[in-house]
Amino acid sequence: MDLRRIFTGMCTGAFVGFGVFTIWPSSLARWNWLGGWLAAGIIITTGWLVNHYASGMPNRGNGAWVDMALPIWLSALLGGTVILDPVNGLVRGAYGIFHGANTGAALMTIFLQLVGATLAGYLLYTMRRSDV
Amino acid sequence: MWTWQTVLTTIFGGLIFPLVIGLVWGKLADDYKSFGGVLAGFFIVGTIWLLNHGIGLMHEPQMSSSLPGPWSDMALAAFWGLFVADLIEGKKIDWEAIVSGLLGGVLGGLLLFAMV
Repeated sequence: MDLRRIFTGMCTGAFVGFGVFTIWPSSLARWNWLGGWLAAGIIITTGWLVNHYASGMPNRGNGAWVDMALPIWLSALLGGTVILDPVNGLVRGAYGIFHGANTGAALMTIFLQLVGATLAGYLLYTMRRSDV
Repeated sequence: MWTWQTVLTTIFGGLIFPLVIGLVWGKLADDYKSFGGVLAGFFIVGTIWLLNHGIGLMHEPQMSSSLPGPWSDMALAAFWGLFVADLIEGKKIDWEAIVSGLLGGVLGGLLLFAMV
């Protein structure tokens, strides 16, 4: 365990987690669905460059890949989302567990997302095995 | 309110995101280095976001309550799908990366909590 690497990954992970759930809902509020599409280009690409291209998150070659998606998902689950509304300024979009939002209400979504992702993981494994 | 239709669309939304990332992102980054990652951000995450959250393949009934949340983003599926694919392949769990990801999520959540 290298604490400095963990601390670096924590900061770069928090950067992308915070960035996604402020920039994304704000772009959506301003430019509708095109804003949602553009938000991926604004924040996900920058986050990927920092976390994975420049290895802010300490992934190793022989370890199972931990994507920056983990801090992204957890950020909104815990802290909710924030919108820079074109008319009303900075407003809250969603509440998180830190606000006391009802965690149980999201459990079914989380479970089904994990079911789909597990299937995808298996399909990816079989695809890689059959790669020539 | 959950129906078999929303169960099906949510599972499919969770399946398609890590599958496309796993199939395409690495190839783009191999071919075009950092610019490949930028292309992938737009064309994989942007486009699948439109399907999963814009149009709503992923059902999030908790968002229509008086205290909307907590939001479970499609990012969970991206992390879990890629992680599971590597685990089945026999790779080890890298705790350093996991801990830094979890701490990053907690710090990101605190920052979002502190904003408004």
